Amino acid sequence: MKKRMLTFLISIGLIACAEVGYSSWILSNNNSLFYEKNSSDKVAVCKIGSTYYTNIGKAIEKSVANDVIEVFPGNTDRNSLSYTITTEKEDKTLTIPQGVTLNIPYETGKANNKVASGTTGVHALANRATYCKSSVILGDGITLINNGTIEIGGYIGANAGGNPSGCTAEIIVN
Amino acid sequence: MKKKLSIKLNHYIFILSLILISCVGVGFSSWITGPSNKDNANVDTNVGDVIDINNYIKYGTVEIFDYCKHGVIKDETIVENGDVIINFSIELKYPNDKILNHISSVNNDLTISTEFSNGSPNVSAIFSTYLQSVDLSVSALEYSNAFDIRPTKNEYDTSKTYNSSFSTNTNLEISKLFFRIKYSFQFPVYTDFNTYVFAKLNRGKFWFDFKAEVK
Repeated sequence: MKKRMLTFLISIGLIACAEVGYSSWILSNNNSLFYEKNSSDKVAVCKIGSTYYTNIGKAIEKSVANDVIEVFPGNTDRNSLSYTITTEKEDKTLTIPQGVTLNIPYETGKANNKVASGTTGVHALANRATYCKSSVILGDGITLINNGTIEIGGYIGANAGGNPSGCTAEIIVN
Repeated sequence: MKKKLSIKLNHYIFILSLILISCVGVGFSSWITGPSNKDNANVDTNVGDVIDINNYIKYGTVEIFDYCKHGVIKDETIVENGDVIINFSIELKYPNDKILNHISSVNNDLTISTEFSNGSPNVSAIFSTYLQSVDLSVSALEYSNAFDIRPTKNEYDTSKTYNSSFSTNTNLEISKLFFRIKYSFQFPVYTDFNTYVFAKLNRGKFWFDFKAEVK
């Protein structure tokens, strides 16, 4: 009986030791440093020449005469943070300089975005899900002064009163 | 019958005990344990004692470039260059002690060896292709940007570890010395970055181990 009690007590003692073994030690990498860094959710949304930007507003700020700011088409989310034009400037005013083109195409590589689509009566923006291929959003409280050129790509239908009648791009002003 | 049961029970308790002993063994042996840097203050020494100066190395903050799948981001612009800066220091226990007192080299130079282990070895040739330079700043003040000490030796394999050695003989008559090591990378941008770097990262993370040692 005594023997059994002794074995039982040893077992309890070992359980207690095991708890200590698992709980009171801090993992350490032998005095080295471990570090990890997560990626940002941002993406490149436009470029000037071979310089890519994650904010269209920043590209506008950096642009000089003869630059073309090429927005990458594909965004159809009218609330996309990536494609919202913002600035950290205090007056929240952005100016597209003279001689600069802000090009918002509906398709990559379309140099001439103003394409007549013939005699169609389709109103593309009434069917955004089908036709709108690129949305750029002007951020809250941002003033955009255009001294250059803003080119928004789209098929213009001859019978549709100037409305886009095929694939198109847009600037949303909130 | 009762006796038989009792023997059986004892047998089970014995086996249970053995299992628990094994568990304790695992509990203590499978984890690498060691003193954290914060424990340095508890090392009981006096000025002039022979100490291992490596016990007084403390690791500080890390500065690493922001990045997304299209490249390194700086001021909302995708750029090629990105730095990893690691801050560490030697802080002896007594303010009137000198680092010089604990250096064993003949010419009184402090030689620091560093090891940078890349945690994303699938990024092919991250060191041989993308690492441009490694520079060290040594100062009595924290966060100095005078990265004016070049490595005396670099040894690396293409993707896994990069070992560098630096020597300095300035500011050794003080008890606290601050180091900043800068690894300067030059990456491709946009789709090339996505293809050759970002897609090869483990869950989109850059991660590494760093170790500094006084030789």
